[in-house]
Amino acid sequence: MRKQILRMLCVAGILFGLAETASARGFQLLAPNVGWTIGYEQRILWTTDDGRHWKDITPPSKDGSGGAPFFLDRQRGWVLLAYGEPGVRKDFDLAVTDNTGAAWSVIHPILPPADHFVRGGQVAFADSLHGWMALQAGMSVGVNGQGCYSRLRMAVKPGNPSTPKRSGQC
Amino acid sequence: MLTPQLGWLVEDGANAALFVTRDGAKTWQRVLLESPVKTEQMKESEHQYQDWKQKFQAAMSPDEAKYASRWMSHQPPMLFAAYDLPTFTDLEHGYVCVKYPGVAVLFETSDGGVTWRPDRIVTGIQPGRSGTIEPSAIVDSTWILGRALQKGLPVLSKLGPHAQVADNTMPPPEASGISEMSFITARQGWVFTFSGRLLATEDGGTTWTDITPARQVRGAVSSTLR
Repeated sequence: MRKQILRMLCVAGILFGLAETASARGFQLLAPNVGWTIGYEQRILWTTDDGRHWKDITPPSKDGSGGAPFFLDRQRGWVLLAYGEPGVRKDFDLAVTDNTGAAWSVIHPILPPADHFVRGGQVAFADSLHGWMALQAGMSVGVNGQGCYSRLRMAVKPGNPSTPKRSGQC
Repeated sequence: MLTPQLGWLVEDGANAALFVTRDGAKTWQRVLLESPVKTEQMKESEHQYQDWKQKFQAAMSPDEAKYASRWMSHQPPMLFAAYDLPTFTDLEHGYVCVKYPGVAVLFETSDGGVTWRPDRIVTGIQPGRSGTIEPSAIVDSTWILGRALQKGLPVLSKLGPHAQVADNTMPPPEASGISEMSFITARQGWVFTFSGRLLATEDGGTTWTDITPARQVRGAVSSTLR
């Protein structure tokens, strides 16, 4: 699983400007009686009986603050773990599970140097290998200071991270 | 994200913009959808924006005003629209809900989001606080909107294809009591209320069960608050 995860192609988009807060989705009903929610202290909770009982499936992290998970189905899920002070987060791990959080693999995506204040991020996947990380930055330290968008594209491969490509638009 | 190449991205905030990429995020295009109806609230918002723009430029030096005018002319039109993430049933067919001042519109696509046409409209939504967006969901071709609380419980509106509803009792978003919703069928779904409760329904909103997790859930299975 881990090897497979490390082969995945990740796309990171960094948004500058308009948004005020990073508010990822706080729950999702995935299938009849099956879903997740964010509970007290940002714990990720899972139910298989329509919320009668909840199980804590939060991935372990070293002081990382977890955002909302993205579950592709009942087994496969991802959580972006952010490190650093809120508002100046520049380092991220990606926790991955293929057994509904019974075990998590953690990979460290190599991101381009951060010249901005990342406030939060979200993940979404089309399949086990292909996904997005959308990181949100404050407009105080934008690339060109004009509220224009700048996006970064990167690939995460074992031992061979591609050179980040940056493109911007106004 | 629908495929490794095709994905949609929505900003957060009061005027959440919608972007699409069809080349794996090498390039992004902003999606702008105009409301098929113009409400009094929209006219008022446009008037306020034009007023602000004039005052803003009047406070600048001639050079700054010239630069600002050039910059503004390259900006997309101010539509005061907040977009939801599109929901697709396959790669071609999907819906996206867009909220404008006083009106919510469900757009439909049958060509993978290249073109969109208005399919359902709800007018009469009262102006709310900036930044508060009315939640909605689309499942089984049914558009579900959260409504005002009645005896502490949510009330849902469900609109089928091509519906146009003028509802002057539609409350401002912050009074709707619902901040998020997730439905897998028109009958079964969850909503999260502004009072911090997670509620579930299995009969389309006729009855609700409080499934808010207890505070302490650590590894082992824990019950909900009842």
